[in-house]
Amino acid sequence: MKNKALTTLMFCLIFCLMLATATAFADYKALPCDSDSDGKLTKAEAMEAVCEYMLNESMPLKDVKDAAYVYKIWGGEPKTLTDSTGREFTMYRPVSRIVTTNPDNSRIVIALGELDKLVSTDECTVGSSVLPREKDVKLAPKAWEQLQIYGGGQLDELPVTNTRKEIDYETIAMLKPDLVLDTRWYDRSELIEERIDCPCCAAGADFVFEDNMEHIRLIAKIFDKEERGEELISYLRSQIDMVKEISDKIPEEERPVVYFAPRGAKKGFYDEVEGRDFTRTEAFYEPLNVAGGINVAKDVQGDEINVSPEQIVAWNPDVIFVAWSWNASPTEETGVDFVMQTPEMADVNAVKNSQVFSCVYPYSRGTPFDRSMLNMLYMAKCMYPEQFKDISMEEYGNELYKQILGVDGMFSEMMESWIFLKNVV
Amino acid sequence: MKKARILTALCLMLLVLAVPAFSCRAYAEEPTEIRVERILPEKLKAGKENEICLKINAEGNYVVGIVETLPEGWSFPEDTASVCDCPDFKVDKDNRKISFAADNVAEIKYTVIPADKAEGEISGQYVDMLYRNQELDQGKNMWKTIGASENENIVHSNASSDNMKRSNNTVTVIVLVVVVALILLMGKKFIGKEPKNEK
Repeated sequence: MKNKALTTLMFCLIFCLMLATATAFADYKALPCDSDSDGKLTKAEAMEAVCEYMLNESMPLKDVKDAAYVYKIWGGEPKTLTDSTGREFTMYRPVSRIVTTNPDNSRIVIALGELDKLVSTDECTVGSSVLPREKDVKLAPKAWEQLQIYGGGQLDELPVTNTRKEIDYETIAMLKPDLVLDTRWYDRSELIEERIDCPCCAAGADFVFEDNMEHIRLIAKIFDKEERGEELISYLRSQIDMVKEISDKIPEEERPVVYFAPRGAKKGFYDEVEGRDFTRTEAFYEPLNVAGGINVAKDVQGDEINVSPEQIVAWNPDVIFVAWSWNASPTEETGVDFVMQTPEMADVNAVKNSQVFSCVYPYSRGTPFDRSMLNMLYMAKCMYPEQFKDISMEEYGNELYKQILGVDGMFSEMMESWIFLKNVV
Repeated sequence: MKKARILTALCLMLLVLAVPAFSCRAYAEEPTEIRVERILPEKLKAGKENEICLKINAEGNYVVGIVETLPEGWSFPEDTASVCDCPDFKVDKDNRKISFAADNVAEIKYTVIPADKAEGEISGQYVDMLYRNQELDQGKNMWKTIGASENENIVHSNASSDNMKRSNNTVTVIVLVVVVALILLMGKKFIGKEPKNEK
C-alpha cells in the first residue's frame, strides 16, 4: 500500500514537471497572441493582448511583449530571412536570447551591441578567438574586463554548449533561446530547429570582405540593428579603401610575388597529424590582395591546398608570410625561423633578401574578419614600409577593436604578446 | 489510502507553487526611459464624473501597457464607451480596474466617479512592452509605478513594489504551510503508525 502511494506520488510529480516544462516553451512557429491564427498580428490583436495582460495577467508577459514587438517593429508579420547557405528561416518572435556555436558569429553579435542577449556559446568564443588568450593567460586582461556579459562577468563565464563537432542540444534547449546562430559547415539547421525548438540561422564568410559585410548584414537583420550593421560596414570599408588607395598606386611590375602560409610552419613543411603546415596555402586571401601582394597560388584550384616544397621553390616568392602562433618560450623556433633556416628554401628570393615575415594567424575556428583587417594593413606595411609609414598599426588596431568589441587599447595589449606586430608599428 | 491521497495532493500543490516561486529571478535590467504620470483635477468632485489624465513621456516607437486601480467606493461611468477616449482599453468594473495599451500615444484621458468625500488614492502601474532583455521569467518585476505629475498633490509611488513584496510573501507562506503539513504527515508514517483502513 505504501509502495502504491509512493509510486502514485512519483508519477504525479513527474507529470507535473513535464507539464510545467511543456507549457513554458513558446511555440516558435506561431505568432504570439495571434487570436485568429491567421499568421498576422493586427494592431487590434496586439493591443487587446496588452490590455488583457495588464488587467488580468492572464498570459505570460513575454508573449505579450513579443506580440507588441512583432506588431510595432515587424508590421505584424513573421520575419523570414535567408541564411549564408541559402536556406530560409522564419522568426515569429524577436530575439532576446541567442546561442552562437562559433566565434565568427559571436563576434558580430558583440559588434552589434547584442552581447547581453547571448545565453551560451562555443568553446572558442570563451577561449581565444574573440579576445586574445593563450591557455589560462588572458593576453589583453583590460579588454577582457571591459567586455561584460549580461548579469556581469567576463566572456569566459558564459555557458559553453558546443565544441568543434559536438553540440549539447539538451542544454541549449533548456536555455530556451529565441534563435541559434550556427556555422555553415555542418548543414544541421533542420536538426537544430527540431531538437531545440527555435529557428536556426547558419551564417559565416570566407576571406572575402564583401562576404564579411553580408555576414554582418544578415545578423544585423536578425536583431533589427540594420543601422548599426551599416555603421560597422561603413567603417570596415573606409579602412579597406584607405589601404587600397595607397596600394592601387603601386605599379604591377613593382608588386612582390607572395607565398602565404596561413597555418604557419611550427611543424615544418607538413604536419602528419593536422595534414597541413608550411605547405598549406590559400589561393585567395583578400587582405593580401588589397595590401598589394600578388598571391603565387592564385591560380591553384580547390580548398585546403597543400603544395610541395619544390613548388614553393619554383614559384620563388619575393615575400613570404608565415602565420604566427604562440611560442611557449622566446627561444622556441618560430615559423619564420624555420623558413629562414631550412636548406630547401635557401635559394628563394624571400629568404635571400630576408623578406620572410610572421603575420596574424588568419583562422580561429573560422575566418575572423578582425584578423583579416589586421593582416591587410600589416602585410601592406611589411611589403611597402615607405608608402604606409604614416599609418600607425597600433592606432589602427586599437580603433578596429574599439569598433568591433567596444574595448579600448586591446591591440596595444596584444602587441605585448604578439611581438612580431611591433615590427611594423 | 486517504492519507496517500492527501500526501499526493500536497506534493502537487507544492510543485505548482514552487515552480514560479523558485524560477522568478530577483533582478531585471532597468527598462528604457518611459515615464507615465497621472494628473488629477485640482479638486475631485465626489459622486460626479471626473477626468483623469495619464501623460506618457517617451521617445521613438513605444507600446506601453498601463493599469489603474480605483480606491474602494469609486466607480466608472455606466456607459463603458464613455469611460475613455483611447481606442485600446479594457474595464473591469467589479474590481475597479482599467487597462490601456498606449501605441505611441502621449496622453490618455479616462473618467471616474469618486466615492462620497472623494477619499482614497488611485494606484497604477505600467510596462514598456518593447523593452527586451534575456530574462525568461518576466512578470511583475518589469512593472513600474505611475507617478504623480509635478502639479499633482496625491503621490502613490511605491504601490507596485509593495504589491510585488506582498505577492511574494503570500507564496512563501503557502509553500511553508504545505511543507510543514507534508512533514507532519510523512513523520507520522515513518514513526510506524499505520494509517487506518490501509491495506
